[in-house]
Amino acid sequence: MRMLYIFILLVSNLFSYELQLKKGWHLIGAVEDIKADIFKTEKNCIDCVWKYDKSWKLFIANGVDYNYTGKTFSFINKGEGFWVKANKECNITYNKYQNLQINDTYYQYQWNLNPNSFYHQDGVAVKNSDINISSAWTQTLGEEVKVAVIDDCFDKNHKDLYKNVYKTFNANDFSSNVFGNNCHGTEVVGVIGASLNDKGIVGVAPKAKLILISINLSYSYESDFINAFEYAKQQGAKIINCSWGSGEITQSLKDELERIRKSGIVTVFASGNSGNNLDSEYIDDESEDPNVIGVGATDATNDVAYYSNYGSNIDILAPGGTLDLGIYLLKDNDEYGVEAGTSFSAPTVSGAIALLLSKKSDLSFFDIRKKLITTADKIGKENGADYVNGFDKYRAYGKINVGNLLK
Amino acid sequence: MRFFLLLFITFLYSDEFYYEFGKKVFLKPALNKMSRGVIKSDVRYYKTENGKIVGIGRKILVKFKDKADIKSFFSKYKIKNYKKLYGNVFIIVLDNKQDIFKFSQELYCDEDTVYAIPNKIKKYQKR
Repeated sequence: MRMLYIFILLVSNLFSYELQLKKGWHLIGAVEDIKADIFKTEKNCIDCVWKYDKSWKLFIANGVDYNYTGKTFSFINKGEGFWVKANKECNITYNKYQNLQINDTYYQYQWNLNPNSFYHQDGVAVKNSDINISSAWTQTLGEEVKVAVIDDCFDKNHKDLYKNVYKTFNANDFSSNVFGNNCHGTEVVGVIGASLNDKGIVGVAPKAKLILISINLSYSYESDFINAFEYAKQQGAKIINCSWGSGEITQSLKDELERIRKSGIVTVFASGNSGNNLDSEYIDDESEDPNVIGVGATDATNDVAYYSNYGSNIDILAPGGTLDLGIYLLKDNDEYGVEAGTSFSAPTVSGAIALLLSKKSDLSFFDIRKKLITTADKIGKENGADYVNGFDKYRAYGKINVGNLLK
Repeated sequence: MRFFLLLFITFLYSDEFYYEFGKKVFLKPALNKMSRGVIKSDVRYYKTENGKIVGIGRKILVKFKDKADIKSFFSKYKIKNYKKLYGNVFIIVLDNKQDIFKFSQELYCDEDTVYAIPNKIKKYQKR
């Protein structure tokens, strides 16, 4: 009868099987030789008292040692596995990608993600200038989380992107045609969702579902922008990335951003590249709105980038690079390139939120914002950073640390 | 001479404002510097007090208060050409005789509206 409560979903994929368990039930064990396939609990499950009963055995697994916060569960007999039950409900964390190998061609140059990148080894990128994503990727790659990107245009057929494209929408003519020339959107969306496929680059959330929404950023009605956000909402987006802005938010957009936040969607805006103080009297930037996450840029020296706009309402920084060492990106027509700017910091944060939501889908905007800023690295202290209540004027609450975010 | 010309232009366009965030946003006519090759015939271009160029056509974005009787509102202002964007937000299309600024000011001052703003074309920067 117990088996009736437990659903086992075996989906063969690159690295592992996926199993879906009744809440409160946990598998300790491993599938065949994949020792990574261990469920563990989180949320301070140190308090959980573990019990197991051999009669619950139902899954073939190799004998492995399971070590959790000092308690060791040993599985003696090869070929046996156990279902165990915690005496209180705990969220399940599944380290299904513990043996993740990234062989994407340019990953070696992605200093923003790869702590062992070519640039780290030759000293151009300093230690910890990446976003500490490796441990997060052992848990999730952003599966099933829908991320919308509103931008000028996209190459939806890019070989490193097309498998993750869920929907496309042109907010100007309501068609599905989102292609154009020199698409900024292609560059931005790749930072979030370039595939893990042994080609090109890898995105922060390489299994997220991408909703590509094109809009003419130079010449669109306010109502077109509302249509763009509404489409994202209708398609079930959990995150909306906006790597653009004007320094002068309109009332209709501000109203829409509040509505989007209240509907449970997290909107992320780039702060801009002018080195401006956004607290200035005549600036009311979209990235400063209380209903969005405002993102500035860091560079390979692991400090705020010189061009990054700053202000008391910017939340967090993420790598945006500089002209000396930029971010590796997708370009139209199956090409790749390197660019710099807060445009690429924002999608880094959007991707990180996708990873977080794939683990904890019920988090609110304010939960996410709090987690982002409380787990951020307080960078720049050697350059005079002065964090008061966790906030530095130029560096906001610090640089995103994805490993800490997902702990 | 230039002074009087400026004075004349200021007088001529003194009613060209709309309300946004409860404040008057005054506009001055400008050349289309927004986008090369893209010109909509029914759109006129203006410079805001902050020096930003906006394009304004024949449509007004209106958000109604939750308790507003929208049907009566449209009837009151003889508005027949409109489209719902979402919830309480509508686009109203004006005929050629109506002054978009005066009409948006009038709608903004109605107790049923949260905002009534010309549906502007505005330039955003990629970042």
